[in-house]
Amino acid sequence: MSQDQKRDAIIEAALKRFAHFGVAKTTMTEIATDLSISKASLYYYFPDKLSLYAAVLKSITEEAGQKDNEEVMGEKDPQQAILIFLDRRTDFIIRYYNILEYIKSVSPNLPDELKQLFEFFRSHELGRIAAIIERGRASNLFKVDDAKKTAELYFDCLQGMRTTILAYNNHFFPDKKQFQAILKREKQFTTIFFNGLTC
Amino acid sequence: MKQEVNDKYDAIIEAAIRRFSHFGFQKTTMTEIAEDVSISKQALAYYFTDKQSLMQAVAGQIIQKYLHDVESCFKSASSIEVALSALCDIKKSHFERYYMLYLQTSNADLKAAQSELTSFKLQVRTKEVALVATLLERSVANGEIAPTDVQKTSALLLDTLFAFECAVKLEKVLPDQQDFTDMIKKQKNILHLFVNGLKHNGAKT
Repeated sequence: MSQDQKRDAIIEAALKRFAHFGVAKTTMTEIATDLSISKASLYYYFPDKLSLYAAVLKSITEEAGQKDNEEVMGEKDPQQAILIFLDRRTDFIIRYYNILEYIKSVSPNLPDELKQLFEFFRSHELGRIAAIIERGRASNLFKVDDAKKTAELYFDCLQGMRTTILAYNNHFFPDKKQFQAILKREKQFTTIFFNGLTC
Repeated sequence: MKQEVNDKYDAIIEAAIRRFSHFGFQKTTMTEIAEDVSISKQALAYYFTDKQSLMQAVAGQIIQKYLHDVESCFKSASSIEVALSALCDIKKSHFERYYMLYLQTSNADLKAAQSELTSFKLQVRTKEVALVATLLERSVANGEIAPTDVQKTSALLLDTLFAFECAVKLEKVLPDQQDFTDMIKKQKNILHLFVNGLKHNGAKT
């Protein structure tokens, strides 16, 4: 097995465990055992759980990003495009919730590696939203001064809404219904926001 | 007041079942269960002194339901084939939901916990064998199958089904739907052969 293949196999095994048990409850020993490799071998590829976690995050985001991008960018109407964007985003969060929520636990002392990754994700998501808004502006559907700033404003509002709703959450894993309720509100908000941009 | 206590007790068991069957015994903490039910750890201790006793209560409840399902299924089955096929279905849905509880742990501290679990497994086993033996007796009585040692045959039949469950457990850590579907297919196939064998039991030279 080449080094790359081995690395991918580790990420895949880690992904399975993280997605089911959550990151905190997964140990490097378990991942090594799943793959029938020694811990030393594992540490050769990933010096600690956090770096493995970063790699898993990168992997799932890239995979989802490729598929979704085509779909979203293919939609000419920006109002529809942004709604599709929100649907895919919610699907992603529901599917990988156990992996994503670990970010909250790590947040207070985010290691540089993860900080960079999040900056990368944030700018990536913002870029896509900005692209949608820019397309609306270019085809004279929207009256917008700065697509990037508008995207940031929109994005911050979305985040704020999500945080507020989840704050009332009980401690067990939030279920699909909750995320769908969030999605509904996001879409309502989005419609009003984008209507406001319309000429 | 009594009703509240009962409600809390039920809520705790429900939360415990959810956590144990998703994360397994080892990865579940009493703190998490207390949080799920919105009570303090101390309050939880009033109902269950430790994780062990909670697990016992959970196992007891799950087992009761399983045995009850099997018993009523056998009662209403029209033939032995129907009964055994339904048994596979019950076992599958039970196993799918609770396989995490059967997972062995290698941690030495939990050997003690393991022995408690083992005695439970023995209890289920004994009752299961009895239920299937009764079914076989009935089938012999109404001529569906040839006379046979019902205790031995029952045990053998259940061991066979168990073997397929073990195969799933050993294959991978997190089995998926397909694994369970494959398992039940194999189990039903082998039971079919089994029953045929029982029908012609006496006819062999």
